[in-house]
Amino acid sequence: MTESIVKIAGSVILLATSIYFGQVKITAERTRIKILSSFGDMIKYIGEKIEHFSSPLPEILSEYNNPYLESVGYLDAIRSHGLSLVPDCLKISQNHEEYILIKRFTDSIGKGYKDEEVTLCKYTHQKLAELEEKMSAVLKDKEKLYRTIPPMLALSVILILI
Amino acid sequence: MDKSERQALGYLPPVVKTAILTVMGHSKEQINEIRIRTNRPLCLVVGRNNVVTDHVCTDLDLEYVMSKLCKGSLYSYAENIKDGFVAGEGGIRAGVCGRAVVIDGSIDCVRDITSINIRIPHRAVGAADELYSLVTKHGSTLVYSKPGMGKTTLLRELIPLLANIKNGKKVSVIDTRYELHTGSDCDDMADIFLGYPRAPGMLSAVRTMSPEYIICDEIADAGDIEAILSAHSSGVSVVVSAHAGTVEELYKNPHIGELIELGIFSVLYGIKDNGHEVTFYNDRKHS
Repeated sequence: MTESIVKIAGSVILLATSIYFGQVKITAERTRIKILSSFGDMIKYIGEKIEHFSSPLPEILSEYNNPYLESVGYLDAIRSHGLSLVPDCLKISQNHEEYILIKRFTDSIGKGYKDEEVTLCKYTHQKLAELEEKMSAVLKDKEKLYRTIPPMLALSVILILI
Repeated sequence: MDKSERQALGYLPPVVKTAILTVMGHSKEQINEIRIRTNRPLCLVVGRNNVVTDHVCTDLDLEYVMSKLCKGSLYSYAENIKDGFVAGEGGIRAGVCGRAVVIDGSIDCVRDITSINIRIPHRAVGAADELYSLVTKHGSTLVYSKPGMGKTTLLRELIPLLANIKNGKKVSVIDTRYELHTGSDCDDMADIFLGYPRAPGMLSAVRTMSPEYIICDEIADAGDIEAILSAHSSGVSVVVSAHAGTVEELYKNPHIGELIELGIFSVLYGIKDNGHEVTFYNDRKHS
């Protein structure tokens, strides 16, 4: 009896953990796309400000508003420490395409003249938008995978052990 | 180190800062210039002496300094860089040069900056006392000297004397290169035309600020002269500076010579190695 209760409890915990794990992965994917979109929006804003006003970067960043970046504290950090902080805000592997794109952007922005800066902003924004579209397209499939595979694995383990 | 020197050090990478502090030690002498050149030793102008340090400056050092001077936004300072300078805070001015990109005979932009000369302004309280008496007694004055003798410092010290709150005089300062007015710790009542080209700045001052005095640095071309004539004809006294070692050299610039001959300047105030030389227009006219 006690053994059965323990097995049932263990199975429930394993199943719950696998569902939670799947949900965490889904949230991470959605957050990744959201952050990408927000930074893309910021880069587009920077490019427009440079193109039309040649405003210095600290002024552009102080005027920029993005509720999402503000809510996660990234905007304040970028305003205090500069754009070089942005790649770290992504909290992803340095092999990821968006990390490389944004790192190239933050390493170059502010070092050239207006035309180059505007071109850099437009190029980076366009590439990020393409990446965002690609990631959004596969998001549904990934969600299905994360919703099914972990619980299936957990059930398999339960069946094997029971 | 005074406030201006500390501000200037703020634009430098740590390794360059360390090299300067090592060389200066506990010296009380003032640093007037910090000269950074790619692949060359860092040099300082301390007092009137050139001091060469052991630190050899790299591309990265210059990139760091430019980034700090331009607040990480080189594009925002493109016009100034074309003119050969970037204005820092507190009257600090950095002369810059590199590889010019020329289109149709004009400089389009400057790339690969290879030399930066950070000029540090220092207060010289009392230096402009005599000039102040001459200006208030005689009116328009031309300050002249060879480069690096202190014309800008003299004009900078004149501003708080002329535009002092107690005097109530209306003074317009045409600060084209951001060197004349050092910022918020000045307790003068001058109207500052920051970054204005000289001629449009003077004309604008006359039209809008009804000045009694206009102060302007480094006049040279026909446009500046026209503006001075216009200001003078409006009853404004102008205090300007020009590069020349002697009065005779002043005449070599036909525009400045013309102004002197027309009697625009009541006083010619020359800064020399061993003091200064005052020439009154009336004395010169009759000599």
